[in-house]
Amino acid sequence: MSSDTLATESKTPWWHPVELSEGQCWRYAIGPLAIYLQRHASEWWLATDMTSKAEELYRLDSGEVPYIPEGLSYSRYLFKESPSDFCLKPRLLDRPVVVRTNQAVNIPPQQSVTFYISTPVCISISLANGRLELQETPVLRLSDTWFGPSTQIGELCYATKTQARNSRREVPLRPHRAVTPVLIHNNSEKLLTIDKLSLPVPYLPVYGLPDGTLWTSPIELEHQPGDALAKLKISDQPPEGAGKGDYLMPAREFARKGSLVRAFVDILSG
Amino acid sequence: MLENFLAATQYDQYTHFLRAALLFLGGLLIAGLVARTSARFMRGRVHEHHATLLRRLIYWVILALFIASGLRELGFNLAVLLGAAGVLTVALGFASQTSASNLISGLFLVAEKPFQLGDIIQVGPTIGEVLSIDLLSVKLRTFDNLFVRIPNETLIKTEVINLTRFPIRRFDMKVGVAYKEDVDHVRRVLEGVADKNPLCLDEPVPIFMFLGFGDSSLDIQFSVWTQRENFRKLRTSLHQDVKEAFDAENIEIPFPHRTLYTGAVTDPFPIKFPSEDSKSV
Repeated sequence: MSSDTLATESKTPWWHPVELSEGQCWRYAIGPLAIYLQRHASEWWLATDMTSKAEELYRLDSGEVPYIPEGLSYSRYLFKESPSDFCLKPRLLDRPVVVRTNQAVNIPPQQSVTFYISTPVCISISLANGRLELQETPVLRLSDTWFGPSTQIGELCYATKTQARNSRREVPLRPHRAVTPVLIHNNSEKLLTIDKLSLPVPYLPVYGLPDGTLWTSPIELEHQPGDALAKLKISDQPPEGAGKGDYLMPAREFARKGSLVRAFVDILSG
Repeated sequence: MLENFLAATQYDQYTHFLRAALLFLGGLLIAGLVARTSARFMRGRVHEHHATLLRRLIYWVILALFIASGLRELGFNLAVLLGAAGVLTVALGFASQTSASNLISGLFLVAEKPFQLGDIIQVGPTIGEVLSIDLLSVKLRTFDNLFVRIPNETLIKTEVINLTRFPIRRFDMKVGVAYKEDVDHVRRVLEGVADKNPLCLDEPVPIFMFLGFGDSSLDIQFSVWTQRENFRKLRTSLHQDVKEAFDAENIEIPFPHRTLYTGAVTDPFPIKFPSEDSKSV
């Protein structure tokens, strides 16, 4: 993996289609997840494997392998005539992600700041130029958490931690995580302390930049005076540096008015 | 003349009989059809449990009307029949107190809604999924696939635990560690286990409780929250993780100890070594 881009050996980002001839087997390793795909005359075999080795958590490898490793159980997909290509695409997680900052972050009054928060993606594995989805699998199993005022009312989310980096250059290049720019305006007269944020990732589309990094639409939070909560806005613009051609995957869910109001309520704590 | 009259009467009787039969059959068909259509209409609009009750009510009311018409066609006087039924009801009422009690309890259950179809409930020692809530009883399917019928009266009188009312549940794991162990270290190890297990919710945060000094161990309760669907999976994985973590950290889970005294604290037990005995012989 080069230091400034995240391309595989063939210099193409991992979400581009790959053609296989009959009998050929391909391995893609994206972060902790390894995907094996083998094409036969009338079927495709698919296996996935997860590693917990620290040195393999940020890998990005792609290449031909002789066969799916023994001991790995695989799924078979049968066709009259098997499609010739497969395609991997990133999709954000199916539940909001509650991101806890490693240290509490304070934003003084009348200040605006942008944080770059990354969340692991799911990989959608499909055939025939993305027309036929076989499986979707998360690259990392995040811990569950509950986000709500009580144990009766709330929402089940995923939990992760963040460094809450506020400079784009500091954001590490990771193949399996999508970065969300979060712009926070503190319009109140008091210091705003944030120790956790709920990112509504099911409502965010994914963009793939030419350097191989994944980005989502930016979100904007506005903290008003005398209001314990923040207003949230999902931008319909692509993230900085991304063009329309970099659009990879639409959001899982489209924000209805009611649901977004709930997201506003849940977004901030502390 | 007389033959004609008799033939006409017979013909008339056949017609009545035929009409009554048609009414019974038509009633069955129409009641089924209307009940099914209304169920389809109610799907998504009304709760499943109320939809089921309404569907049954519609079916039986329509069928009863058709049966009543059929009986009238056969020449029965319904007023007399209903009068007789009234008298019979009083007599039956005394004989069927239990059923009446269940029926009324059923109405209370429907109004109170302590559980719904598909919920997992515990009634006494029985745990199962609610299959149907009827006027006389509630039917459950236990996890070992047994069909259990519980009278409504029992449900009204006893404690019913609904295991699936809320989306998250707490699992209380009780564990004892040896007296020599550092409680703070045990706490850190347990918190590490909960942090690594993806089924444990990060929030509400796991609770560590030092319950007290047991007979052979320091008694600890470690409570973690999980999604209700993952409860059984978590129970297994957490016990396994804790055992592995304690083994790795050399934390001892003690078995019950018993110290024997010989009657006076200072006097030791006499000990014999068989090997030495054999030497002395």
